[in-house]
Amino acid sequence: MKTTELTYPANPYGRHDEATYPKAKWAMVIDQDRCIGCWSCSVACKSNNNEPLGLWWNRILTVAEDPTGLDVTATGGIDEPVGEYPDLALAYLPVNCFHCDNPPCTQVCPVAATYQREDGIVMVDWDRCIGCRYCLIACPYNMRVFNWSVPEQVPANADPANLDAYHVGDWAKPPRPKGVVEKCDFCYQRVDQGMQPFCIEVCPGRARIFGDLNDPNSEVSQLLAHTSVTQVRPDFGTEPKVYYIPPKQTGGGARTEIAPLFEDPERRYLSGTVVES
Amino acid sequence: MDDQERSGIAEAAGEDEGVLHAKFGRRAFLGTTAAVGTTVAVASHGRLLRSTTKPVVRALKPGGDPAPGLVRVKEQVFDDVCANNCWQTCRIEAHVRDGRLVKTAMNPFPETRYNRICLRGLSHAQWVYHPARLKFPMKRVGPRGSGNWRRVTWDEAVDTIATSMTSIRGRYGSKAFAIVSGSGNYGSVAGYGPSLLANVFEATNIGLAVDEAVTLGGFQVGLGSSWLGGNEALDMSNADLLVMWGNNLTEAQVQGWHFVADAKDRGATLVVIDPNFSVTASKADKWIPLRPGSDPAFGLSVLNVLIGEKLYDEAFVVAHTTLPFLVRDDDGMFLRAVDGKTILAWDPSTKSVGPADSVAHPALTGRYTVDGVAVRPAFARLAERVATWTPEYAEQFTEVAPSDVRWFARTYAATKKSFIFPSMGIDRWNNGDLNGRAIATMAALTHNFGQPGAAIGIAGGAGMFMLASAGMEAPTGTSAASLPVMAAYQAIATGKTKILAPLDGKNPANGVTKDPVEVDWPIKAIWFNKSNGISNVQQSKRFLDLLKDESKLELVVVSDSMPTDTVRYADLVLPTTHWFENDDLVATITHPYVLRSERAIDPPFEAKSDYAAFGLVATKLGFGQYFTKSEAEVADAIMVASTAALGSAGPSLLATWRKTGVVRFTPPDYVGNTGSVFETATGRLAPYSEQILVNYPAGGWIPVSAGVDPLPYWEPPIQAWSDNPLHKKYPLALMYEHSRWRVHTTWFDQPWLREVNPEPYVDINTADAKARGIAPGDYVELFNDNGKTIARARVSGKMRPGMVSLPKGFQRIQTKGDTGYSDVSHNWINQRTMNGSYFDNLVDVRKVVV
Repeated sequence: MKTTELTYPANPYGRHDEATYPKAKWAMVIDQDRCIGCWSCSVACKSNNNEPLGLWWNRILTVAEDPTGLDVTATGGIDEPVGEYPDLALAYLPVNCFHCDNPPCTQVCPVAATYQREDGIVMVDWDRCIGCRYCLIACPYNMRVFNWSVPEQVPANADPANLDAYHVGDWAKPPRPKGVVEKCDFCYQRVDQGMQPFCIEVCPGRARIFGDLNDPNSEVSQLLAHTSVTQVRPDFGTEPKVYYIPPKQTGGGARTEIAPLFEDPERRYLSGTVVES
Repeated sequence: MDDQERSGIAEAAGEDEGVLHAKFGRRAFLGTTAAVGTTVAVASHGRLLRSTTKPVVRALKPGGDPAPGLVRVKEQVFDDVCANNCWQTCRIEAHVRDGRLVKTAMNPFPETRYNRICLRGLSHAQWVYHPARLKFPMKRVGPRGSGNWRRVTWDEAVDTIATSMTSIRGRYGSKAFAIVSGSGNYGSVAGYGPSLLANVFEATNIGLAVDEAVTLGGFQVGLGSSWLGGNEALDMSNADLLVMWGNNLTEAQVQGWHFVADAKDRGATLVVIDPNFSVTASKADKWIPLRPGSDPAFGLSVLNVLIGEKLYDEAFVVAHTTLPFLVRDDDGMFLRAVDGKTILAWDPSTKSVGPADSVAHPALTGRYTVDGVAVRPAFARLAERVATWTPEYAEQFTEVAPSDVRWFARTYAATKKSFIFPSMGIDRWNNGDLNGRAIATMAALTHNFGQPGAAIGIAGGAGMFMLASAGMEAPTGTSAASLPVMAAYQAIATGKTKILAPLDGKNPANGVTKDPVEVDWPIKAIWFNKSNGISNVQQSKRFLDLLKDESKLELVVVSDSMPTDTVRYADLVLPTTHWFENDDLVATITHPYVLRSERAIDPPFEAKSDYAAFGLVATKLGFGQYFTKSEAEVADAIMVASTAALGSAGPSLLATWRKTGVVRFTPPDYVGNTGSVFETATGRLAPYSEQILVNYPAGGWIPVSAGVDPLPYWEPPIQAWSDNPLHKKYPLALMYEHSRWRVHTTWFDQPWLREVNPEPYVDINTADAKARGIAPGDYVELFNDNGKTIARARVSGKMRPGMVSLPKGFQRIQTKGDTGYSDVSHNWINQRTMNGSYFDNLVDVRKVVV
């Protein structure tokens, strides 16, 4: 057993733009070839950030021919490959807030409750948020979630009024009040202490990488320089900072071309231009 | 879950409040309008290898007052272990604030490539503090399974058990009291307590009888198979060809995946042999979607190509296998010299026989007569056996294209660094051992093992088998009798059962009968610990009905932390600790480390560890002197004994363990089977064997002269095959998926996990569903003569026509109609393997209204 001591904002609900590394530019790379859709990153996030029952900051989509996404019920697409046996292909797309360099969400908040730090992390100030949900609408990626009711958790939050009362996850992620928005914050409270976001260190596939784009020697910089990567709808002009290494193996030899799904102009989720350099 | 389910579990827990149901909207958190866009970066220069986590930022300087607006928060972080039956045995950081677990995190290994944790291990807090957690001993009120309980003291509980054990021993003998120690906790101390009591009392251990068919087949040849003969798990990243055969490791053994991904990054080829398009199959370079249960035929066709195209390593075959041995035509045994021991081979240079170990170039073909005895080299017998199994012939069994068989055999033979990892997908079949046999023969012909990147299966872990607690667990020299669960039903129902018996009536090592013999074996009580037997046992409905018949078992005790299916049918429930609530040590196969697990939090209410509970009963029975140590002291004693067995290396390993709680027994980059003498009767690999090993009784064997087959062969599945008349009635082969959401039935009610995986679904092919009028999302019933189980239909092109796949692990109370997934499995016994044939199963499916 060891005792650890971490440094957190005294008021976790408030505004925290005092990043330790203001000159950093944080980004994530997710390797869809290694991703097996196990949801470990999602559950890691859920547990570490004390996300209430019913809300997820990080979730795993199954790439499907249905561009409207997935449903948990059997009618939906979770884990459903594309095609007909044995001509099948499967890939996963883990998604969380992309901490865009040109975020639409921060531009619409009427009370400046959502803001972007110098290091690029887009944050929510739970003391200021009035629950108008303009930011939910503004985000073209649907990455923000809203506390429609008092957050419930198992095991239960002992006393939301008391910061030191029992709740799961980091101390810095106490229960939120009803009526505020929440989302991935790149585990700012960990990053500010030299740690990685929690989702990064748990991935069984080693498919998630996090680092500083301002450091040319960081793994994310190296990957962006040397590997083909994609983003989700960069044509929106949001400049997302989560990049994806597309899956090259999806079908066990029978059908490997899930990539062409992304090039078919009939598909709603494709953008119109291909940027090459 | 719905109200019925919630109250059902609540009743089982003896509480008013049941499990919290998850309120969640179906679309709110999963809908998205976005998807992947276009390439933005430059052309690829190749993929960087990533299998370690490097620090990406500089650490803060420690000490000093926090800056204004900041606070310092302390947490205790304990070293714990997830002792689960996924075998991944992750080191866990248990984070505790004010004496309560707040979160779990990955705890690094000395070899950081073994760092691991998963979605289940991240949800421990929901198990530790689950509202339905069992709190105190309870006795049933009313019939078994009625769900009414009254609280009792531990004293009363212990007294009841001890009295029953004594009384049953007096009337039926001590073997009539059975202890079932399952796989719900691989802690060595947790295993030690029940094992010790069973041994000193001479009770019956009802053993799991599963996971043993493929290994048996592999052992037959002498290579072990899967976890006992191969290389260390990280060695998979060194392979050039990886073959996941009946192995869905991305879900069932997830921590092995990144080693496979690393190998692929290096340019390795991944082949997946599986009827199912699993996530593992989706990552393959080549997926071979063979017919379920046809794997022995596929193996034989591969052997046909290896031999027919002379792709085998002749020098190795001659020197290190039984294949040059001369085999008598009359009885199939090896030809021996007059001394009755020395096995002979044919020496073409002298045109006579000589000791096989001395003949430089023994014949592998030909027919000879020696002193009037007609003989042939064993290789010729093998070649003759596989000659029929051309890829074209095999295709009618396997539905695999002949070109794929040839490609696979040639690629396997040409790739010295071939790593075959067979797993449970080909084990839970009546013909499962024949898979192990064929695979091990492939390895014996090619010598594709025993070096980095080349192996059959993973090993090199300390494993529960290597920890030398066995001697400590039988301090009086007496031991429990062992009865496989497959034979237990009859023993409970009738007081007799049929098992293979030692030929001399005593020692299986002197051979066993070819056919089972009926023996008296009354079982009058069972104490389940670490086991959810009622959920997992084959033909579970029949077993449940047996339990409900109160004239059969006088006492059913269940130790558990959560109200499982088995707890529901107990007479007496004992609340057990969670893994983090007592000290223990845990070892595994999938990594090489023995790990200390600390008591991080206090047990809730009156929960006690299995060691403590069994100790109380043992004390009542007069065996208390074996339970005086604390759990930490027992763990230490096990390590003292285990390291002592390692010779001169022992003391420093013991010191390392005492200091750090993490130690490995095998050298780094462990490679198995590097020697040239193997653990067979002859010391050579035995694709041709003079005797057939059986799984039960342990150490038993049947000579080939009694009429068993000395070579790999084909036997169809016992149920799931179209030749079976039953197939007309139940035309769908049922396999049970081991999904990421639970490990067997552990984690059955984690709210976070159930948000995304709320209820059982069955994968069914679009055409099969349409023929039955089943639409996506309909509730359906899988049924056959053994029972039925209800799930929601997931209709898609994913599933093979003629097959359905149902995940195991949900509890009866979580299904519509209170049905169990194993209600439709059968309990037909293969006496040779004594192994659960769960996947060798036929059902039909129909829509139901629930």
